[in-house]
Amino acid sequence: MVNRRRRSGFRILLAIYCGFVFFFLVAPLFVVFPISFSAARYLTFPPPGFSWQWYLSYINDPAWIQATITSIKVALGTTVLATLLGTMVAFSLVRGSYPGRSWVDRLVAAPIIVPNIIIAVALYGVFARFQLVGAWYGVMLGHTVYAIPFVVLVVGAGLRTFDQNQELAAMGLGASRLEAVWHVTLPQIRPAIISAAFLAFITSFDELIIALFTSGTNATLPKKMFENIIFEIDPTIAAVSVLQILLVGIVVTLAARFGVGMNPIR
Amino acid sequence: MSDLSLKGIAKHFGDVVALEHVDLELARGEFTTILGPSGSGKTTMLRIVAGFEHQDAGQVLVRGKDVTQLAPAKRNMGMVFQNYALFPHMTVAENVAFPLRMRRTGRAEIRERVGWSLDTVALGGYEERYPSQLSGGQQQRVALARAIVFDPELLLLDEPFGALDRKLREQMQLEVKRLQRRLNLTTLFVTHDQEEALILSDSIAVMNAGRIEQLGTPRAVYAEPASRFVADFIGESNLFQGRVRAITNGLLVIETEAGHTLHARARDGLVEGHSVSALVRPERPQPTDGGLSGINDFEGEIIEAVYMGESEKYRVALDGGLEFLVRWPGQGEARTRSEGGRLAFSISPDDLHVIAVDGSKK
Ligand SMILES: Nc1ncnc2c1ncn2[C@@H]1O[C@H](COP(=O)(O)OP(=O)(O)OP(=O)(O)O)[C@@H](O)[C@H]1O
Ligand SMILES: [Mg+2]
Repeated sequence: MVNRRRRSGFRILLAIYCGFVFFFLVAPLFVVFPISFSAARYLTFPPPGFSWQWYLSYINDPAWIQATITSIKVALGTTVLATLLGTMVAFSLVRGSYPGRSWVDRLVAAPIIVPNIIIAVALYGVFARFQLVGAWYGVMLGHTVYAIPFVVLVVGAGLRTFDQNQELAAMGLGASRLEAVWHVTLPQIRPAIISAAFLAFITSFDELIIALFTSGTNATLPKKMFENIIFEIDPTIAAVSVLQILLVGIVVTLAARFGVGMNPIR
Repeated sequence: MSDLSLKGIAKHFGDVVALEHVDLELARGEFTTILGPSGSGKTTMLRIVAGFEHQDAGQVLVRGKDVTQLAPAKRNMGMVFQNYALFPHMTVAENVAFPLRMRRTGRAEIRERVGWSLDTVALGGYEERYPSQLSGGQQQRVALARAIVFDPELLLLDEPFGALDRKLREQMQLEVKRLQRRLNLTTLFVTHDQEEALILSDSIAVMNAGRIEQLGTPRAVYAEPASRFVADFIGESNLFQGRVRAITNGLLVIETEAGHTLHARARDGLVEGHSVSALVRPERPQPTDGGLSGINDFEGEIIEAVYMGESEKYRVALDGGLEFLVRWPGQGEARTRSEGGRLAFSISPDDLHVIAVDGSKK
């Protein structure tokens, strides 16, 4: 009896705690959404009336559109590169045996651990020398460095649970090592690879600091928003935020749909 | 020419000697089982034959051709893994077609071969299923179909029945045996289950600690084991330790350490004074009315009686202290022998198998 009451007390506390966490996570949405439809000319809350003006101002401003296109280009490029390279690194870490493998294993998470600003400054130094500052593919390279660890972690986890006998069986049945990986291993860890790709996309799409240093005049969306806050502060960024949230939401939903649970076997 | 010959295969992992020096020959269509306890090197041997592992010394010849340097994919061997290793993301038909696709076989021929192969294992109609939608026995059949579809020179099976329940296991054993006979497949089979080995094999290689202790027909390894290890490992056994005291009328007279006198059929190479082990299988003794007048007559008290349906097993404490295991066909209620009762039996000299104890053979 006592035990039960204590447990239900605990559950109430837990529920309150979770409620708070949830509130703080979604509260910004409840502010951003209304403001994006605000009829006012400044950031005020609650908004005095309804209007589409800030969405129109976004669509009609070439700078915003250009930033959006840049961001999407960078994010797609990062996705492809980071997924490719990260998957290869994951294979070498899980399967390989070469001197220094354990060090690679430890160092691969470094870009996550090292403060973004350090990476950004370092990249700026290197890019400046090769005239990559301001080029969208420069930002893409920077984001790739930053996104690879996520890919390695996700794909590596998928690879570790994969039964290696499958590959042996394939080779015994006449497949070369490459064919075995292509026809047997990759299809089975595809959910992990897809999740990793979406993760790389999102990581790049709303990354600010690296873009701040390396994108120069060719701003990405987060950088443009940052500049907007500093120089203008009008509700356009609320509208952009809503659009960005919707896009990321779609990506996350797709990741959940195709990343896990796509395989008919599981 | 043999289909498969292993010549002096040796393999160690660090300090562990997995295979010491293995020689083995398989003729066309022969079903050979590698039987041995855990860690005796069975899987290592199969993996070396398949090419997944590289031997330190020795040669693997397939139909006279040295395949030592060939990658697994080039060896043309069909292998069934312990857990089948079916590809879960492919349908049954795709699984079976896989080895053909890797060989760049034409579409029409693939369709035909896959159909033939699935029919052979009685799985026609299951083409579009995924492995997860099949029972254990059906999965095993798919693995078999996949292993035979490309007409391999050799079939390799690593404990393929381990995951099946008893009834299904027996059924699959017979099916595999029939299939192997029908297609005349040269087969190397690995198991630690001695019963399975006896049922399936043309010959059995009994392994112990990286060596083949005995190679022979099931009858030979069961009835005439070459060493105490083989006698102990295969089937149930009663082993007497003793010494040859005399040879009279073609019979060895053996004095056991426990003080019994046994008579066994004489064997080449055994002379007076040799120390030997004498093996009696539990089903061999014949019941008697008691009395110890003849040769090899024994009597004792039943200390344990186990009824097993088709047979009954008795642990008997012989007068003189030795324990003896007897297994006779199961009896009806009326003829129960129970613990505490007496049991008398006699052993024909032909049913005693004498093994020379190492070191005194020559
Ligand atoms: N990759 C490996 N690295 C180190 N030692 C190994 C390796 N593979 C096998 N061994 C060792 O070699 C010996 C033989 O192993 P093997 O797997 O061939 O035995 P087995 O007869 O198949 O046993 P089981 O019935 O348990 O499968 C064992 O002592 C094992 O520990
Ligand atoms: Mg094994």
